[in-house]
Amino acid sequence: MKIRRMTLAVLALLTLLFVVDVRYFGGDQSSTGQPSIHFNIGPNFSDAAFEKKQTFIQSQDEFTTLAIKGQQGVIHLRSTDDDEIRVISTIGADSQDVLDRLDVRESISESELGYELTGGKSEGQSLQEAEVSFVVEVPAGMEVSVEQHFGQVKIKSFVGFLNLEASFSDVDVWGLEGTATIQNRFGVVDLRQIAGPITLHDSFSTSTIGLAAIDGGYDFDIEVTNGSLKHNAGFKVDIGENRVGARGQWGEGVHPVVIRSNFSTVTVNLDK
Amino acid sequence: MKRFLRLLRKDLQASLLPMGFLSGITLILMFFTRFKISTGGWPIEAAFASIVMPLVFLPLWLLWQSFQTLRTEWREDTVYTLLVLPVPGWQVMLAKLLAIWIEYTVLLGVTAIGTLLFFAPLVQEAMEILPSVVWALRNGLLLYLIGLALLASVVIFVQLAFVISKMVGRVQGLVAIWTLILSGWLVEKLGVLLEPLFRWMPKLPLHKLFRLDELRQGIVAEWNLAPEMGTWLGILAILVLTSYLFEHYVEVNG
Amino acid sequence: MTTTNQVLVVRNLRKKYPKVEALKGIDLTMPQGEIWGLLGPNGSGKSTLLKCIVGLVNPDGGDIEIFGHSRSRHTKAQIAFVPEVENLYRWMTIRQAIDFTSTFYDDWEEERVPGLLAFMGLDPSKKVSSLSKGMRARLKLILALARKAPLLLLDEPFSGIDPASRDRIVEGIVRQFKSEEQTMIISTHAVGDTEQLFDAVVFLDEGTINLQGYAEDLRHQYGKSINDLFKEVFA
Repeated sequence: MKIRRMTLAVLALLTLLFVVDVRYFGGDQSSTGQPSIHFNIGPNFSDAAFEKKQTFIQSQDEFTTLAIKGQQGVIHLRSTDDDEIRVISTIGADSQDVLDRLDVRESISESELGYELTGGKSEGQSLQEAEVSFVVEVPAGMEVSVEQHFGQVKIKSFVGFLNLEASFSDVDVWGLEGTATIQNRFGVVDLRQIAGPITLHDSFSTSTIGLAAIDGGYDFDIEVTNGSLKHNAGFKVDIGENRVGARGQWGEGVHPVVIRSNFSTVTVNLDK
Repeated sequence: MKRFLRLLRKDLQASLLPMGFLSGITLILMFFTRFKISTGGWPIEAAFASIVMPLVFLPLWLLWQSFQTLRTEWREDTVYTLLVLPVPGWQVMLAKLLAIWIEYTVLLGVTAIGTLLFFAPLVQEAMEILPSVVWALRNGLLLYLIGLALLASVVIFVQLAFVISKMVGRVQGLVAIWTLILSGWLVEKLGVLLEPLFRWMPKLPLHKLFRLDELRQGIVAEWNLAPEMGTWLGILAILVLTSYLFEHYVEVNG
Repeated sequence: MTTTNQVLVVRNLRKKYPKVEALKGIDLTMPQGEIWGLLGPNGSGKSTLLKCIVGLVNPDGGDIEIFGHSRSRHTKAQIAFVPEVENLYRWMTIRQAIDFTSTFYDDWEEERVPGLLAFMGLDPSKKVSSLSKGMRARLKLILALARKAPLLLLDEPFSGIDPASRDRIVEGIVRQFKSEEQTMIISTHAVGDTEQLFDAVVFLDEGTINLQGYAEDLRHQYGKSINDLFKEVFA
């Protein structure tokens, strides 16, 4: 009984202190300004404290290809009717010191024009501590290569040839006339109003491909391993061990639709 | 040492059945998920779920197990054997903690084996994304060690809560829960109070430890150890206190 | 302070549970080499007294000295305790239970184990969970008797045991007890034919000692057997 009473007394005392702490100090560690577990995970680029904008304008002239490399930001791409290539880049960082060392570099190699973030590593500063976003306008019919990691790609009303490589990113395409080749990992791909041949390689992703009804029709060659496939093209899905396949034509079968997917959910919607 | 190992062996043998059951369930779940994905019945996300589910469930089960391993001693009256043994209390408590660590390791191993066995292509793809196999193994080991430390801290709280509840005698469940809350609050306060003493300690650069720069994710993570030190000292003190109470003051059911 | 031949000294021992006062000031002095019977009905405090001595419950007052020392890890090593409850790990085999217990005691005499197992009629490969109550009681006794513990405490070793097991246990105790080295307390509420075991008896009732003395003296003084005296005292 003695031990029991002593234990209860200690518990009661601690309870009193606990109540006082919660009642008068809010129960947190604000008295020292230091949390018990202190993590600095940064920078938070969505509202980066420091930004730097650069604008590049080039006449299309001899350029046939534009290459954009982004990271952790948003890449907006659309086609225009004029002959100018306009690229507006925005670098975001959590300190002016980091920002001062970074730039978007323009590179020209024969017929290819390229833009990417540079500067961090050479100064001992990690590029991973910054983000870069692009707003890109290109003349219709041009070939554009986009590489994006840990960010977003938004493409609207694009006419031309698109090569897209993305990982851990959201890709939204609304209206594409031409040819698209897309590689995607660990992301979400939402393609709508696609008119033309398309090749999609994806893994660990959720991909939706909306195909516009165009003259010449489509030739489908779809292979999904360890994943699922839904489509409304009207032909049968061939189910094998660990794989789902679909082959067939719609219309005259002129434009190839090649999908190779691994550990992904693929949906093909055809506007009939 | 011989006596400690015998206590450890006893605790491990006592949990063989639930361990076997859990390992079996984990592997069956993974096999079934693989089968359903292969036949198109389930989306690919199910693969992640079947890997993550055991990992989430595992710590919860181990916490329950850390409570249960003591509760069973009283429920089945084997505490009469345990309390008359001429061994220090810390050996009994540490043996139970170590047994939980070993169970955690085994079940993690089973989950890893199941993942490799049933989702090898997924692992292969993941390895292509990750910088290297060495990077993955190194970080896996670090996460495992952090897991061990966190598990130990919670198990130590549970052991104290149980021992205190046995000393009070009545409304033991409520006393155990309340002790758990109070002891958690107490060590947290201790961390805050002792924090100035440890301000000299440098921040631990987690992004360097885990080599996150190789991920190209731009994560900078630092762990301020100063407030942690007092907390960990408090947890160590709780282990000592629980062992002392177990050896000297805890009683069999009246 | 105890003299050299005093194994156990209990002074004014008190223990209170939330609803009952189990021990109300017990005094005992026990010399070496004797078997004492701790007799009393259920709830008289016999088990609590033994649990206090071995360290399973904590007294609220009074002193306990075992070979001149207060209760500690050291005194635990000198006591072989057989509780009334089923304290064995049920998933163990008999062999595992023996191996487990033997690890913790320096006074364990492994060479005695085969003989004890044979005498008690137990198969070491059998699981504890598969044993009858009588067999489990015999196993508990083996775990105590295989030690050369200076002090043996047996709490109701005959409770709920079939007559065959009881006879075997009694015989086992008589055979293995070494009066020159060991001292034993047996608590029981059924004296019956175990009476011949006791050198001295203590009658305990509601936490107090009613009667205490050497068995032979009491028989002579009251002109009755201990069993009859027990019935009379607790009628």
